[in-house]
Amino acid sequence: MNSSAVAVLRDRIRRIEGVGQAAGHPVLPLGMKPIDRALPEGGLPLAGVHEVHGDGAATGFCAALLARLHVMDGRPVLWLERGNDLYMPGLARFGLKPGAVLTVSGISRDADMLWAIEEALNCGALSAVVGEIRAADFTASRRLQLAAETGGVTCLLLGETGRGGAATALSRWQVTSMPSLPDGAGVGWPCWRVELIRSRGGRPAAWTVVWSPKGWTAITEAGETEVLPDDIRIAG
Amino acid sequence: MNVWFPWLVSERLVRREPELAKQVLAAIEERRGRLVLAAVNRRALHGGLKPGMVLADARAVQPTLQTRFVNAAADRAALVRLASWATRYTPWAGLAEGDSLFLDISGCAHLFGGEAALAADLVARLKGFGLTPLTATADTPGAAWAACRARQQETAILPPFDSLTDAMTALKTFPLPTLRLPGDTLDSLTSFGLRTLGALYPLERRALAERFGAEPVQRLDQALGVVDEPISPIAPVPAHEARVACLEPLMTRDGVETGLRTLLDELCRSLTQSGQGARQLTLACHRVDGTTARIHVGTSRPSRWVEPLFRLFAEKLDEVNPGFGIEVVTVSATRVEALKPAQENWQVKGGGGAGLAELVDRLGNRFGFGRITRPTPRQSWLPERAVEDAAPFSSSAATEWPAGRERPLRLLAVPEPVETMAPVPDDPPVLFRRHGKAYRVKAADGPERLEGEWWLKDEPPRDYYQVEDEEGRRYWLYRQGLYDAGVQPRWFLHGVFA
Repeated sequence: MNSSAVAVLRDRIRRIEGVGQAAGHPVLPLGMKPIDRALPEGGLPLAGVHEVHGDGAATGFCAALLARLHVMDGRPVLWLERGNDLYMPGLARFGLKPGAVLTVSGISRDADMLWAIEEALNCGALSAVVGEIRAADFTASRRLQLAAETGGVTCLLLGETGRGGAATALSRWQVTSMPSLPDGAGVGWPCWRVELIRSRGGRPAAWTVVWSPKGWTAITEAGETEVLPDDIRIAG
Repeated sequence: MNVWFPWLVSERLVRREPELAKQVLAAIEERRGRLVLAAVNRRALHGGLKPGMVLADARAVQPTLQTRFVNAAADRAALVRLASWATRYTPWAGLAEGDSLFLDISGCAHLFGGEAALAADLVARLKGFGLTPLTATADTPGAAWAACRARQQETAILPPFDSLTDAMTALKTFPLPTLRLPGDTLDSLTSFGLRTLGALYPLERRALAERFGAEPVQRLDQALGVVDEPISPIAPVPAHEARVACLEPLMTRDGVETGLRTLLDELCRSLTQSGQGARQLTLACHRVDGTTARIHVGTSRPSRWVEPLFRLFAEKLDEVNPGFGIEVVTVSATRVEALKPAQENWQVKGGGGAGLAELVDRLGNRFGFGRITRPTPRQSWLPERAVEDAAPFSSSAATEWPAGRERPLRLLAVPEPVETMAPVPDDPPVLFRRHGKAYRVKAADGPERLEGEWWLKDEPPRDYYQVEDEEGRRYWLYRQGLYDAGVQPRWFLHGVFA
């Protein structure tokens, strides 16, 4: 069986899985080869729901994804906050420009949050919606997935660690802080353990991601990386 | 139209104490140290009692007289409620002298089948509340007021005043007290033998004004329509309003939706004609039992599009309980702003913009518009002041976030005091405690000294450190104030990094 036949079969399987993701569907490459290679479409499939679990590092991971998406798409991002502590000057470090993000703060009830996410996905005037929600049940998650597909808007559900969401999302990530790589004295570059727990049509994997002023770099578990910026020395 | 409640005070007393209905009843008040009748019921009037009588005299005439003290404030409040109820007919509903209301029904009588039908409907409903209204409809408020008292009919209607002669003819025979004058002015006019409005016509106006003050002339001119008398509405009259009276009371949400759509259609046409868009709208559902359910919605920018506005209302329509049925529905634009055709094109064509505006409206109506912001940079050194919570569609200058400053992803609204171990002065702590858990600091950057602008300098400067714990989590801590040997420094957690 030649490789194009395999590709066709893969595509068909993905469609049977009910995601409606055919080849040619918009994809956001993360710009980190080891991770992009592990994702079946070569990047994060857009117009779908993705779950990102974790602490502050997960917020940073989302910010970096949104910044890439906003550069590519141009439409604003809506960030639906559970509390009222998102700080734009900090998000700016990951490349989000002023004015790129609209925020709605203080959506503390899950029901309100789900309603707001779905409304925002249906509106079609956004590139992405971030909903800070711990868990969406199967039905809610399915609704969001449908709304994301119809509206052509990407949805990130940002939740705390350790809660299993529904299996309808296109992917689930777990992002946790790791001791930073030293860049000389003091605190070094932010360093995260990024785990792809589940992805539609792909296999779980984990990487160490380093955020430097030049962008992010992924290191596989085996220690491979394509290019590591000169100024980063891998500790240990 | 003037709606007069001649027995308002006694009817309200009876409503509270139904056993008073069959009694000779008077409301009393104290005037110059004496108890005087302020208002009486029908039985008392037939028994020879009148407002203004001294209580002792009244008791002599009617020994069975029951009395209650007047509650003028409550009576007035009741009249205000009646006026607000009457907005089901017209937004121009206001209080008038002597327990009565003025309604301007000129633009809306047709919705209720004409003036006579409207008056009959109004009287029937008010009777249902246990009141006895008398109404008169005329071309001027003054004439209506006069006719109401002169005719004492449930639905008196004066012929239209096509000319001043018409007006003079219509009012000629009305007794002088129907002119809404203060008691002493009225007394002196009567003492000159003037008993009807017609008696005033031949008098020279200047002489009249000199002798009796400006009021008789003014009231007469107002009644005749020579000068205009505006009605002061009980609630601000919206610039744009649409109303529908339903033949069959609406009992279902579907019914209300249909009505709402029709009304919005009308309202939006009227907004288009005046080049305006609505920022705030109110839907009022007047129920059969006289109560009103109101829904308010707001928009983030002027709008006159039926569908988006309809959806804003639809979101809240479940709050409307039809009760025994809704008879009159109104939609009014309570705040409007200019909306140029250019903006309209932009909204309709630039699908993204319109879709986003609509989304912001829907979120704003559910969570409050204040919670939706587009954070933009502001010149300030203090982190909590460095972000401007701009409105979603404000045109912000394309400034960048200040470069070279490490800022956390999450900033606590209120810095959280933390216990620290900082053995070396002017150094970051080696350990801090939060919620009873200890965090060992592995690495730290800082200090970055931040101070408020000079006009805010009532607070000591803060020294910020970015610290990393053993697991790689990063925190933004600061020490309040300069390090001073004698004083225990206070430390706060202000934010979290990625």
